[in-house]
Amino acid sequence: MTYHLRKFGQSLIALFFVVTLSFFLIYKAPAGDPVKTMLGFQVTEEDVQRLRSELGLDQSLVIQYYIYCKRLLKGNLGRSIISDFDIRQEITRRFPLTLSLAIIAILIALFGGVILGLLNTFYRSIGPIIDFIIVGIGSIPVFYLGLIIVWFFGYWLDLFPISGYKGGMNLLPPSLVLALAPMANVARITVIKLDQILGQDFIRTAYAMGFPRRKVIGKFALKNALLSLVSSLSNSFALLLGGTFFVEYIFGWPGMGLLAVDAMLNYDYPVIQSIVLITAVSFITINLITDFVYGLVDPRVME
Amino acid sequence: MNLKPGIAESWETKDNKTWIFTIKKGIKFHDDPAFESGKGREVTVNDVNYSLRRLMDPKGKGVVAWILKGYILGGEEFSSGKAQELKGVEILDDRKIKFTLTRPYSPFPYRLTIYATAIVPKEAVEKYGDDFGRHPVGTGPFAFKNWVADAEIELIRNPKYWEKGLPKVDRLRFVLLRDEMVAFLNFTKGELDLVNIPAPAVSSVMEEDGSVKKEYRKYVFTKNTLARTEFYVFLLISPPWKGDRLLRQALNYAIDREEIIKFVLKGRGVPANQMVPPNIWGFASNNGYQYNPDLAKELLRKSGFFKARELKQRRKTKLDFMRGKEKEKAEANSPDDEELRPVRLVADAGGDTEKIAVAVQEQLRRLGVNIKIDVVQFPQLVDLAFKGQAPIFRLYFSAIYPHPENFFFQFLRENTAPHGNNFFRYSNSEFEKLYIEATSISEKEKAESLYRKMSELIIEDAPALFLYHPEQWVLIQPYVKGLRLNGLEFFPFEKVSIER
Repeated sequence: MTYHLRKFGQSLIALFFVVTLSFFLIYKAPAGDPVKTMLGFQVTEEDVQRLRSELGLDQSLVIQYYIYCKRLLKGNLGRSIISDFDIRQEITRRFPLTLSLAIIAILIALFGGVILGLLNTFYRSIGPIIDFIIVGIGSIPVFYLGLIIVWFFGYWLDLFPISGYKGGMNLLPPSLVLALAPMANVARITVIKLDQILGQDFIRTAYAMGFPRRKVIGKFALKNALLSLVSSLSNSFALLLGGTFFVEYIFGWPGMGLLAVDAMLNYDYPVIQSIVLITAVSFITINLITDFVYGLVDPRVME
Repeated sequence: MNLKPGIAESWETKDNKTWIFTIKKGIKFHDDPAFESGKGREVTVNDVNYSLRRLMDPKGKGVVAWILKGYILGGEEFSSGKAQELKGVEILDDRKIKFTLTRPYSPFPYRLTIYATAIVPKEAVEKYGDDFGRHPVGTGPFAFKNWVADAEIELIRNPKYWEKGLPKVDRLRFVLLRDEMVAFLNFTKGELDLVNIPAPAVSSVMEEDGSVKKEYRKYVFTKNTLARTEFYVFLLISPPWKGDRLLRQALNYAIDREEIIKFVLKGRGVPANQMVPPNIWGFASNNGYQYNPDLAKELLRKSGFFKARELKQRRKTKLDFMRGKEKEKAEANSPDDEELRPVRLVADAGGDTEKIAVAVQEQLRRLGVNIKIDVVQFPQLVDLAFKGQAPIFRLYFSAIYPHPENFFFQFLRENTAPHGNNFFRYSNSEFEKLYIEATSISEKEKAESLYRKMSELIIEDAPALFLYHPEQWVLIQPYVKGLRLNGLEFFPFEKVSIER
């Protein structure tokens, strides 16, 4: 119990630092004025000043921080400076879309990767071919792969709609593109870990006791490799949540990645702050879950 | 392009200063829960008053107040919150409204076509508050249904639209795709009715000679020149062009616009040899700037560009041979090193702008003028344009109403940045006089000759390096009938029908 409490407390502290840092760092970012982007070329300096004071940007930084924190505690993320949407509403709509991509991708990566890893371990003769596949799929840039998949499966073979976000069929191609890099990772870790574990004494004992090879690898060895996989997957998952931009761009998926990049290019900092916040919360949550899963998989870490 | 009345039935003016608009009877707003019965009520003259005041409301964000506030009498005072009343707007009776302007301004009805001057119902604005932009209610041929950012916008037919028999289709869907090639594939797969041909696809759609390839002939191909001028601003108060008209003219003659259009834009543009695009009236009768390297060289030689540089270079070399006190004294009077360096050109990132900057750099290098390119994000470009922090930078003017005045008010002294949009810091008394004369008369022929003269003045003074007018190349599915594109990109979708 104390283990869980301690981890939770650590997460809250981390969250506080993220909120504060993201607020102040944005003011240190290279020049660029969101108010001017919003108003464009058609307005005068006076308009800019007026809007700035309306948005509270003429206040001192400390007061702005105070207002920001107060708002945040009420669950209000503010409005976008550029397009004037309610940020919480927009994120509530977009986040599940990106999350579903990441979850499907991570499931594909887990099963695909373990299967590739096991194949490599079981059938040493085709090992080099599988190695080649693993290295290959792990090294193609996402945006390139995305275009190829759109063209080949969506246009040429016409297996699924090229773009769209509503149906289940739309979810698969972008998830697949996202899954490939972590899948290669999982496969590599599976191979390496199994290799290590298979050289250990208890495996020899298991063989000596007459367990078949399939069972030794599938049950004893794989279970021990699981811990490394969990940590690798949690890393990949967190990275996926923040790294869907190219896939969203290509597949017309209205998720968080497009929102984030637009906000950054336009210095739309209420949106940037909110995205940093959401990303931090997801990272911390995933880490927390990972820690708890560690506890389940290997009770020794709880001590 | 001419004006056609919408909510207004007619308008009249005697002096171009007071305008009386009469609105049509029986125009209804879109049905929306914001109304008591859920049914859109009739548009009244009060709605016109409300909507235009809302534009300038000091409590609003003021993003679009510029459209009217300098023109309607008392607009500045009202929009800054100094006055409660908007003096220049007066309701005469239930169908007539009178506008008094600050001075005669004949393009006024054109100005009222800018999208932000649309007539909106108070009930909906108040109901949705800050989110009104996400639940727009108006009187147009299509009513808003749904908008998913980065995915789609859906509009449905307004059965009560005032023009009988329109619109012809029940639903409009705008699919928002970031990747142009993906959009193009979607179109060829038949999932979209209309698409822009993106640069990477041009060579697969078009033959070398400019005709459409056989496999794409089943679609309707249309070119649409935008009423937009792309150019570089010469900051007229900054060296090396300060007071050097010949230099600015020389650079304009040195640009081979056809080459830029061919290689960078893949053909999708027409050369801009002056400020006003060819699909707006009022452009100069002479052809403006045509590529002429010999003339460019001659003008450059006559200009002060090399002279100034040589002088500075010589003084600097002299400096190297001096010692002690003498050198210190000379150094204090010596020219800035900055001025000997290549001229700094600022362009914003994205699209074709960077490639065009490189092409311009190369073409000017052939002339012997070296420039250095700085690429910044758009917000930074806006910032330095207002502050005048770069000697030459990228900009464009788009027509928001089909009238040449659109391209000239930015050259007035009263609009000099940072107060207004005169980023050039252009100042010419003759031009000011012509502008005032042209905007105070109603007869189009007479006004046109004045606008032509203004065009010619801008060509002569060359406050900008003119580049091109962009062109949309569009493919349309053959079953889509009646779609007429135009340079303002306000496409009359209500006249479109689907005939399979």
